[in-house]
This record gives sequence, C-alpha cells and structure tokens, in this order.
Amino acid sequence: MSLGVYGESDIGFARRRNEDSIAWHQSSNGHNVVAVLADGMGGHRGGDIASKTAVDICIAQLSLLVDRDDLAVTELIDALNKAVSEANDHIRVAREQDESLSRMGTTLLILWVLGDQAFIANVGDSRCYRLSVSSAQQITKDDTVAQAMVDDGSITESEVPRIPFRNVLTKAVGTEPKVLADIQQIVMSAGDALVLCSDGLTGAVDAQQWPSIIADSKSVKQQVECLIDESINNKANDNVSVIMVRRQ
Amino acid sequence: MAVLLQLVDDVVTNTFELNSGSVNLGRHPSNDIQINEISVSGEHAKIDIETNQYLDGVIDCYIEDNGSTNGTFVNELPVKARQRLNNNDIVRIAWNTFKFIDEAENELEKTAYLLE
Repeated sequence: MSLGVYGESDIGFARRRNEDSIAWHQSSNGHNVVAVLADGMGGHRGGDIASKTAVDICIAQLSLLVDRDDLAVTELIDALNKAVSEANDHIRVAREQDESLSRMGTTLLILWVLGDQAFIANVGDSRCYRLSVSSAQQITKDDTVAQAMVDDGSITESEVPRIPFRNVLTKAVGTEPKVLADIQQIVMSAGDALVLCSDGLTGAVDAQQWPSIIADSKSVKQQVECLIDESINNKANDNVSVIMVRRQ
Repeated sequence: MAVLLQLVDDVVTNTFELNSGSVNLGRHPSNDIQINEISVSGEHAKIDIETNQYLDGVIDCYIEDNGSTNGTFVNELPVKARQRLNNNDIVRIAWNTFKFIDEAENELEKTAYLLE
C-alpha cells in the first residue's frame, strides 16, 4: 500500500515571519515516508534558522535510510535519536557563534512511516494526530509547563487554554546540551491519516473539527489546503504548518 | 504578588494580598478574609498559594469551595473542584465579587519561549 503525503507552511494572519519549517521524503516504492516539522523560536531572530537547521539535518540523515524496507526497529530508533541529537548540536553551535541567535531553539516532530508501522519522535509542542472519519486523536504529548501541571494533578486539561504560560516549553531542540525525543510506535492501517502540525493550526482550528473540514476533499493535498485555509479564515495568530500522511 | 480586589459596583472597596500558605474566606470572624454578608457561608472557600514547581518566580493560586450554600464561581462558572486562578479572573463568593490580579502573569502572556 502506498502513502499519500503533502505539507504546507503558512505565515498565518498575524506574524511577520514564518519560523516554521517542514520537509518530507518518500521512498522510491512509495511505501515509506519521513516527514519533519519544526516550529522555531528565539526572540527577535533565529527561530526560522533553528527550525530550518533541524529539519534540514533530519531530512539529510533520515532520507538516506527511507528506502530500506528491512530496517530494524532498533536501527530506526537509533537513527531518530542521532538526527535529533545532531540538530541540537548544530543549533547550539550557531547560538554560540552569533549573539543575536543566542536564544533560538525549536520544536521538532519527526514521523517515519515504515510499511504499516509509524514512528513518531517529538520534542516540544508541535503535535501529531491520528485522523479518523469522525475524530482526531492526539498522539504526542506536549513538552510544556501546562502539560506537566496536568500530569502532576495541579490543573485539569480543560484549564490549559487559560493558563498564561501555556506556551512555555519544558523541552526544545537547541536549548540544552543534550535532548532526548519521546519516541512512539503505532500501527498505521489502510485509510489511516497522520497529521503533523505546529501550534498555529491547533490554536486556530479545534482538532475535533478537522474531519468535517476535510470531508469533501479527495486528495491529501486538498485536505491539507483546507486545514490551512480554515486556520487563516480564523485569523491564525501564529505560523501554521501541516503535513499529512495518509495510507491509501 | 497576587491580590484579590473586592468590587462593589465595579469599584474596588478592599484589597487583599495573597502572600503564601492558605487564605480562608467566609462570614465567620476567624477567616483571613471575612465577608460579613448573609449569602456567604461561615467557612465558604479557600485559596492556596503555592510556588510553581516549573517556573521561577511564578506562584499558583488555587481556589476551592468548602461546600458553601450559595457557591463559589470563577468567571461565572461554579467551582466544583480545586482550580487555578489566572490573572483578571472574576471570583464570586456567593453574591460578593472579587477580581484576581497577578501582574507577574502578564509577562507570560506571550508566544512560546524556552525554559532554560
């Protein structure tokens, strides 16, 4: 079974720069995909550099392996960890070399589909969802202070949207000497769609509305465009990036 | 520092500082914030002031209703379980209105930044 994949990144309604980066690489037989999405940050500048650095490094390293259908899970996970670690090192070197980039960092979300298995590596608050006809299930967990407070029982999930520091990350690529991504493995059945997105999408369009928004669109490209368009219609106050991978 | 402003017809009539520990609100004189008004229960509600575990300089204020007769509300929604107060929340103790202010939180109302 082959995979349909498409992604777009939009500056959104309120931002002057797009600090998100996306890229993907599909195997020549169409069965495997590596998709990478990063949402950079860094004060006055650097966010775009951080996210592009992370995406470029991950794609450069992982696309070399994406044609291998026989890749062992341990090899794949090692490759994911190595790519995240290398992205972290590169961003840290750039921070040290240029004072104006000294606070840059980025989220990093990698999806690697190998046959019917999907591996998701995550640092930060970009998200991966599994879409069905009627619902959107969040697969990743945010590395944020608000999520940590939910986990320790201080607040409930419903309080998160009102927490003033809901955007403060507990983990990002480039901010600490070492970073370890959370890695999950899930089964991807025929018809399943996985959506990677930056928080510009989730902030502008409730995830539970996504299935109905894309219901009338046939291609993966059209479905991604529908989600981006809806976020712009809702005056997305952040950059909006979406990559969708659908098992046909 | 967080404060609770008592409002009467949108005019601040009292300012209560929320420093540390627990602050009890109710009609009984033993409360830290006594509200001597008939709709308020003797021991009506409690606010716990705690240091945030993850962010330096941030305090969390959690309000809880003590099973009062006429209820505790945040932004007109009943407090059913302990919940965090956020800057500019309107707290209603029975028919008495307060505004919760935590100026330190204004700085955090920005885009994502990194905890380093």
